[in-house]
Amino acid sequence: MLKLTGVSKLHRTGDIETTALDAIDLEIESGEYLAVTGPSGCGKSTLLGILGLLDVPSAGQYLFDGTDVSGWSESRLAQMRRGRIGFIFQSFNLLDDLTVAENVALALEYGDVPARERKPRVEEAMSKLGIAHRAGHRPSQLSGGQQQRVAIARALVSRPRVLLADEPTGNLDSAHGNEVMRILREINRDGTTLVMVTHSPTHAAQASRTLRLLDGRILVDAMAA
Amino acid sequence: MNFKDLRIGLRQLAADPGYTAVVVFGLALAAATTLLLLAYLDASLRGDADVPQPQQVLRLESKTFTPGADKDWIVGGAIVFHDHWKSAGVPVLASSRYFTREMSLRVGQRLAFENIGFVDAALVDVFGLKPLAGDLRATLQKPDTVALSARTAERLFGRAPALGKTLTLGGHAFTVGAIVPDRGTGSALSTSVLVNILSPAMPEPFRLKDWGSLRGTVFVRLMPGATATKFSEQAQRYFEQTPFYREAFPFYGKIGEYRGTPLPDLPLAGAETDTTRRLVTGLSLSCLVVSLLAAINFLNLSVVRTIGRQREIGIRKALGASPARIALQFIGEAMLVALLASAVGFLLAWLAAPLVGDWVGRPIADGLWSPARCGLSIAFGLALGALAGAYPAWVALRVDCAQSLAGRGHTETAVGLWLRRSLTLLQFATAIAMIGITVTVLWQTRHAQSASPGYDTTPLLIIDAPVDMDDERLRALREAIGHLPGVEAVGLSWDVPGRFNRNTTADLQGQKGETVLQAFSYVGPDFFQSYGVKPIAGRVFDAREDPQGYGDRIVINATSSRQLGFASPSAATGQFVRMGGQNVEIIGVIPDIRQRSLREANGGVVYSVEIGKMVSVVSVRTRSPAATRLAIQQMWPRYFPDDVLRIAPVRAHLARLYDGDLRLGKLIGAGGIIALALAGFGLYALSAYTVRRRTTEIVLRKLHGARRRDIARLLARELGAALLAGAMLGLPVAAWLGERYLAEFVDRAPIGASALVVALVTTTLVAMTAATRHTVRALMISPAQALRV
Repeated sequence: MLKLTGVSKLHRTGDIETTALDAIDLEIESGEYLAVTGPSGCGKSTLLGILGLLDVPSAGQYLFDGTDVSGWSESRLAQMRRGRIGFIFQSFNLLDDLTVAENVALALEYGDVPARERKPRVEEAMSKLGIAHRAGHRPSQLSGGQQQRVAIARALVSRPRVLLADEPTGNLDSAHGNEVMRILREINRDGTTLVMVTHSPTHAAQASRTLRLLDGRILVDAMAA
Repeated sequence: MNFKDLRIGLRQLAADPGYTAVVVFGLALAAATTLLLLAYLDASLRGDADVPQPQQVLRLESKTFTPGADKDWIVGGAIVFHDHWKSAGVPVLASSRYFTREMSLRVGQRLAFENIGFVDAALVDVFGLKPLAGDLRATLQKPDTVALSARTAERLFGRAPALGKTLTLGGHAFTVGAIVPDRGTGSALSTSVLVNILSPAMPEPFRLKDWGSLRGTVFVRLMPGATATKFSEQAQRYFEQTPFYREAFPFYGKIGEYRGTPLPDLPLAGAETDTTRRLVTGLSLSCLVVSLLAAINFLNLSVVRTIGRQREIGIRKALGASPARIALQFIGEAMLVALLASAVGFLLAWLAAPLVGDWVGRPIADGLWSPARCGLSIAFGLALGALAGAYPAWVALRVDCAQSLAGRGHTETAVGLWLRRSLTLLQFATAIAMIGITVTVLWQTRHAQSASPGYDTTPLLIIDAPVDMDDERLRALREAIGHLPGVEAVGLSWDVPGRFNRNTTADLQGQKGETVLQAFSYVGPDFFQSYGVKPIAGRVFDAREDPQGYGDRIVINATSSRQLGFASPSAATGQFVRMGGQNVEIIGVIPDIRQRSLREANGGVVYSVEIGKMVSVVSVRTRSPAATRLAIQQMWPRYFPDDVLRIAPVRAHLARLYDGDLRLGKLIGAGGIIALALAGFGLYALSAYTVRRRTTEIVLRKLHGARRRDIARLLARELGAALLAGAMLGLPVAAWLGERYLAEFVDRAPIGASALVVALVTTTLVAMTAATRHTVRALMISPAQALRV
């Protein structure tokens, strides 16, 4: 479903050039649960950004669902992202100016979902994540675990085929972290392709496949036993 | 963009009332200034919008080249032209003389003071006037009927119909024969009472046949195809062939010039429009500056805000928002804010209209609520919003989605940052320049108003007499005033020296036989005593020795003595000189007393006790002005029961010469205060952004031992640089503008660099106040807290 061939990503600051990803070859099948691990600065988040069409490779080819998106404009990438990719972040990235329901609904505002279908879909997502009773609250009024549930609900409401999670438990205590991991497993079991960046070996072990990066290269690519 | 996109923006505006107030109020000031300017222009330029084919209607204007006369075009010309259009070959369809005079009206027991227009019935055809009631043409043909404007009729007669009622004007009874619509304040017809020019109330009928008189004018409607340029050429050519011109030419050369100015050009290009032009320029500049500063502020604050919203932008982008949608969202928000500001601006304009109307001498409040003005206000808001929202939208588009979502927000580019710093310093430069020029104008105006005219103004009261100098009643009044306690002298003159609304010239023969042209002033024999002016040589007039009408003796001023070629004032005294074809004796020389404003140098003046059929002023020198004024008010009705008493200290008359300057100073001052406030807001935004951008640096410096004063210095360097650069740009502009303004005066206030110092100190204080909050915030940042972010 996602295929990277010889993908590199260079960051340039003044005269200094840093290689974030170095000729990566990676193929992720539909329905897979991939954990990406590695030390800080190894290129995990850059890889996630490219997979999520938030960033473009400096070199190489990226096939998203069979479509070569290399060199696409920001507009086309935005169009491709709509409804196909969901994101979950370590810092939740919820908007404090919107209520929980509005934050979840935000994901539908840019897609093709008709207005009349949006409300039921939002309610369904919130119910699924157990936050329906918090619909009118602001994110700042919720605990960290609840905020991450809202972020997951927002990621799921557009029913994406791919879910990208960047250290989703990084800001949570172990109890809430385990709860989020359980939810993510369920989502994957329902057929959503899941790519998760994590520092936690325990959480990485729950994935069907683990990718270990070092200095922008794939050091280990292992299927779970 | 849709409403949901705007929701966040609206909530953020509500959540941050300080920012909202700054942005909305700043833009609202710009909108209000623009609206007031437009209302003023409307009131000034559209007074005769109802006149059909206004380009064909001309007003006769003139310029004289004789000494002591105005050098500019004046509203007036020889109204005798009215009888000569045919001879001059001018293709005139209709012509009306127009002579105005402020006179008292009596209606029953009530007295009113009105500006009366003495006209011909053809005025109806010239302006296409249509009465609301009565027969206007017939009214203006008869010598004993009067036409009133609707508002004047109501003021004089209340709500009862005025048609057919009677009133007294100049001692003569008139019947109201027609009611006409009120004309706009910018109309060329400034009178609200119209009377036939041949009526007995006409104060100076001799002017109707006098080629040398410039009081009054003529309005004409040209035939189709005729032009103002051709008209002016024909009028001038005819004038130069008159006996009057040919007699005067050998002495004066080209003594005058005539032109016809079309009605639409009168408000800004007609004669005596300097003040209007200066006001329009001042208002336009203020409007432009305030709009520019408000837009800069809006832009600065919006960018800071946009940078603070990177995470939101990242999320929206991650969720599939296209660049166009993001840009539209930010521009839409900006337009929303600008629209809100326009509405507030409309309210501000409405509230300020009466005050501004007083400043500019136009009732501008009425013109604010037109649909066109509302539409324009909305369009202004939308355009300004779109313009000022474009850059923040561009900044939003440049937000790196992946980086911002990972919490590693980027700021704007270095170029963008420098651009905004430049805009902030531009704000300060503008504020400094405007404050500087305001101080200069107001200081000079105060100096001019308090400058000595060459006589002591404190004990002097001036009465504008309603009758000619030789009127018996006036003589009796002067006598009675002279017996009042505290009164030292009562004089009579053609005008108040310094106010000098009237011009006439005398040609004298100098010591070498040359012709020397001097300004000429008619005074009564007690004039110099009443003004407390002592001779520097010889004597001044005296009631016992120089009876009125005795024209073979003159008093001259010191400048005149020099210009006539005398070695000293003493040498001039007792000498006979030729004046206007006869020998006159110089009986004394007085020091120069100011005849005009401080804009013009003193010239030579000849004083004569010639008394004629001319309206005059009575000057009263008294030890107790208040008591004397009260006593005159009480005795006045015994002498002039049909006239309103117009009495004022001479200082009030002289101060009026600088009314326009005072208005200009206030106007620029208001703009300067607005500019300063906006610059303060701009610096507030810049300091907020600076502290946010440098938080990590501040924390690290603190970790390494930086003290609070080190941090304060760090921030002061950046903000101070903007102020310093603003001062370097603004101070020379203020100095240049100040110099240009002062160059108009022959006597300048000792301002020196004070205006610049005041501007710099004021601006620095505002800058320090604006930067305080965020500087203190920076000083209070806890290193531990900041590093957790």
